[in-house]
Amino acid sequence: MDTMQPPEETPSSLCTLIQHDSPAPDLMDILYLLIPLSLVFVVVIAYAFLWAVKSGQFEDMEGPAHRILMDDEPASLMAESAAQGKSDNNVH
Amino acid sequence: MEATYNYKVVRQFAIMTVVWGIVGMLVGVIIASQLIWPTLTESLGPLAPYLSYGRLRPLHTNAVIFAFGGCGLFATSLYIVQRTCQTRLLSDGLASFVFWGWQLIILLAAISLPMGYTTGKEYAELEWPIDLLITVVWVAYAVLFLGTIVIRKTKHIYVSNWFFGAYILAIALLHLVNSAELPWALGGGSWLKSYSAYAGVQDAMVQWWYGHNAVGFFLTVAFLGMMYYFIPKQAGRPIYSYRLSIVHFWTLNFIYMWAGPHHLLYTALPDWAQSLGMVFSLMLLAPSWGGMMNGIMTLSGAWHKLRTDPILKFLITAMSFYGMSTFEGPMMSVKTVNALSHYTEWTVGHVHSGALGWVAMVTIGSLYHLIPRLFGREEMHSVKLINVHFWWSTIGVVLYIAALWIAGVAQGLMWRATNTDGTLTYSFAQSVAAMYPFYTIRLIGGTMFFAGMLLMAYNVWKTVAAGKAVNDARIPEAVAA
Repeated sequence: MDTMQPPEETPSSLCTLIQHDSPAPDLMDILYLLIPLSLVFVVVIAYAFLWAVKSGQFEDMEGPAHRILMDDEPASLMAESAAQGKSDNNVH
Repeated sequence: MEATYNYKVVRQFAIMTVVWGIVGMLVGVIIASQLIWPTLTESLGPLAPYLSYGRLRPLHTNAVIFAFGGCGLFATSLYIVQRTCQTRLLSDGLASFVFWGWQLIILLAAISLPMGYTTGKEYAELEWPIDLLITVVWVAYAVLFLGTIVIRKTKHIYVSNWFFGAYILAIALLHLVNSAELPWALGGGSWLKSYSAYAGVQDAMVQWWYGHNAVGFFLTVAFLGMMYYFIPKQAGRPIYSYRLSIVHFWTLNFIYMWAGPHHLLYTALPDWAQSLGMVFSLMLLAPSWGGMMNGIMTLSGAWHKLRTDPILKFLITAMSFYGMSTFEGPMMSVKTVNALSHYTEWTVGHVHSGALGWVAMVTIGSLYHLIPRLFGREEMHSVKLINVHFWWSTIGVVLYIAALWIAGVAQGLMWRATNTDGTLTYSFAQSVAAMYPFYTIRLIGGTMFFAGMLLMAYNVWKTVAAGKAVNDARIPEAVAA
């Protein structure tokens, strides 16, 4: 029980620091940074999205998936193309 | 002169991915052993402090995430951006700078963390001089990657590049905000110690806003970029639904940012912020599973390839673990579940289900696809060894996470058990003692995964030794859309 009592020599300023008469007004002020940052992030991706739509990035939803498979694959074709000379300049 | 791709930087990062994978996982095996034998490294005399658990643990996380995972992402993103944009990297000099800069950061981490220099912020332990270096290298990387997209020869930007682009920008933002700190030197102290710009619960909020988004953008979004390229390439089939991949990308980005507070349930964080974190975490299930289906269904109609191609096994198993951990994560962020799981080994198991099952396996699969192409070989030195590696890894991960599921639930139940008079049924030490069998199974699982990486190193060594660095991969004339 005695240990619960604050020691005599505790400076009074410390006591006032610990006592919260009213809820601290700046309880979670970090949110004033994080929420705006998230909003900025959302605006940036919304802008990127609108740019992508406007510039026709999403006009073809099939072709791009196939195109990465037809990009003149190196390893297996390398040996052949070396043998065949310039024949692999023709893109599929 | 004919235009060629810059494969040099891809090759450098690819090899270092294997090297750092081995180092990071070895440290993991050591600290897993220390949990079973706490005095393991204490007999090493003057070396002992540098090998204590508290110092090695951040070394392990930094090494596997930023050295192994980071190098894997640099290698694949710089490869994919060139091949899908059909252009050489913006600058060879910048590419070299990014490579050597990142290696220097890793080296400094490997020295400073065992010496005890840490900010104490999880996944952001590195002290301020290294933080500044990270910023410089990251900006260089952003310029290199985004600049290469700007000078692309194709009209369309392939979906992988969108994933990598979002990851690069998000990590820049997260790093800058979370690492805001004041060097102690300003107060007359050490030049190698700093204090966070935020205090108390504010600091915790920033830390987990960073921490979860680092998981989200570094360990998820970026590796999805890898997945969307290498699964179609290895399967020889287009992604199941390109449209779904676009939806996956935008929904993930729009709702990821606010899942962080689920790391702070039942803390001093305001209750509404905790609930917000939980709700956003639950919403993430939808895009995550959409992406998982998309990856796995790419094999639709070609399932037989899974029988013979161990690289595809790696990639598809990675997708399964991605699906599993993105189900487990939202579930654990539900407050009632979290009341049991928080601070237990379950969390550690969850992280490893993602880090080993998803991140490491998709990286390993991608590297097995990539490395022969970088060294002018048809395939890896031994496909059989890839298969062995696959099984060691899979069994290792399953042992690891199953052991920690049981351990975590047992721990949670023991901690909350009370007697009729309200006193605790178990002491903390009793709950620790109950962990021994599970820690042992975890060590076995982790060691198997680590041993798999050694197999991979051997396989890569033989492939590289018999191959020849490809520096003349020609860029085809722009394909008419």
